Amino acid sequence: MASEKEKDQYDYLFKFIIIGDAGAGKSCLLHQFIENRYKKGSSHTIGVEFGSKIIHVGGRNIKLQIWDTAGQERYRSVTRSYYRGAAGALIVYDITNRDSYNHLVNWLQDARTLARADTSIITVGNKCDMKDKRAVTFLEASRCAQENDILFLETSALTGEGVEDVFIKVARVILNKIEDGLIDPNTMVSGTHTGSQRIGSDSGGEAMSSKTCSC
Amino acid sequence: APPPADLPAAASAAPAAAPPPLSFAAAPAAAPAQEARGPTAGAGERRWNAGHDHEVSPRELTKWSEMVQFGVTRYMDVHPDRFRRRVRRGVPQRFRWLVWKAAVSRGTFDRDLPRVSSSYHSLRDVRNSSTSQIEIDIRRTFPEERSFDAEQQQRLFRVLNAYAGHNPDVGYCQGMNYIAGLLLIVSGSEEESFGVLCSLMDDPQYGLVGFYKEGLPLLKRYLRACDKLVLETVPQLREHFMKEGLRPAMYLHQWFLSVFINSFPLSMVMIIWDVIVTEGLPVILRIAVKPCMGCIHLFPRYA
Repeated sequence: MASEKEKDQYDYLFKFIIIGDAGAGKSCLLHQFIENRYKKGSSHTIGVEFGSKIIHVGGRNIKLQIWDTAGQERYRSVTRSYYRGAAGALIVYDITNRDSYNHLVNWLQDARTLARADTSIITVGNKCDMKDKRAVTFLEASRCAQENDILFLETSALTGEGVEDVFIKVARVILNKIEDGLIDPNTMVSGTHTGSQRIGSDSGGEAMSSKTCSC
Repeated sequence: APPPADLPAAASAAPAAAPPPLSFAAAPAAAPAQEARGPTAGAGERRWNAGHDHEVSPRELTKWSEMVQFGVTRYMDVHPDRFRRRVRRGVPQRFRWLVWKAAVSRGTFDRDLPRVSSSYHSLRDVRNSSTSQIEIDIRRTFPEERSFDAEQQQRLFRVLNAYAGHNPDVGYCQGMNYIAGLLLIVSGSEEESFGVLCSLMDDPQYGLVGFYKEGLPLLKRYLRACDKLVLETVPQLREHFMKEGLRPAMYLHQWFLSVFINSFPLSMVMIIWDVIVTEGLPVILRIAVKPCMGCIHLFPRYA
């Protein structure tokens, strides 16, 4: 076990948001990532919940501050305010629920217009353990992601399959952008050590995108 | 809906259910009592438990028996202050549903029940545009509550489905499931739960419909009012929160949209609800500020 001090050392702090239809498994995905186990008998999210974890990518310690939002359509007017300044966005759908996949485009548009112009987005097909109930093929979703220039992975929050990869993949893309000088880490929630920087996301406000979804 | 405008002045009044200081994290229903208690909790303070009910002394029970014999609605009119004081100590479980029904209907509940019941039965099994959303959520309501078994989930489904049919403009919004679920736990009756749910949603005294309809207008109004109240009551805490990027909506959404049901131990929720049902919705602002006031002790430099 790392000491408290060691645990809180990180090079960058990335804000992630998890969005997608109600019941897609957003909170279970987050729980699996943070706790490495499936959250049985969980309630739906009201408003927003949080999780954070330090991961090691490309020789860097990156602290992910993850905002897990409620999925119900009616909550969107309130959850939208949480997108601001997010460096990464996970759009989760349920591979057994066609509707949740069809709504991807709406979520994508929200993410692109409300987070940052350069937000790294991944679409996540969750519940891939339920193969016999599959309603969206891997190929179809993969193609859609490609067309929209976003990442794609399938996961099972139940078994843990693919879950960590999702977070690492997005973090790696963001890190690459920083190292290539495409993102100035000072314009987002970032910091070199805990306690010295603000966790607020006020600095992300300027990054409103003019792009709209191409779907 | 009632304007919460008068509430800032009332903030200094007696606390609603006198909850002990709490952390902002949602307390699981099974949390040991001491975990839900802040550093200032004294020996004389109420203990919250994982069960549904608080402890009631025989003397308190006698008082409530007398009130019920006198007539709850009449008692509310004749001795409003005494009634309120006693409710704030918690209505004993055996009288709770009786008091809630009397409070929401001003005593006409039983007279209206046949009409409500027939409306309920005509709506409960008819699919509507909210039905599939309700189906997703019934398993995600009180998941840690053992009494909320498959049968209770089906009752919950029918009550919510009936309400969505009764008021298609609102349909179903997450949060309503906790309210209907709590009513079922307290009443054990679908028809009566449906009746009380309709009153809480539609009657102006509560007007919960404003929390859940498109755009969540009343919620936004309550958020602003509560933020103002926090600013006036515990300005240092609000400043600290803002500095940390913690905006009021982040904790208030859950408190308000589940009307505290999913946020505190059930035995505490019951008393909070005794107060809300008998005093009206605006009291939730004062209830929401209490944990914030309790929190101040966690920040010695502000205390």
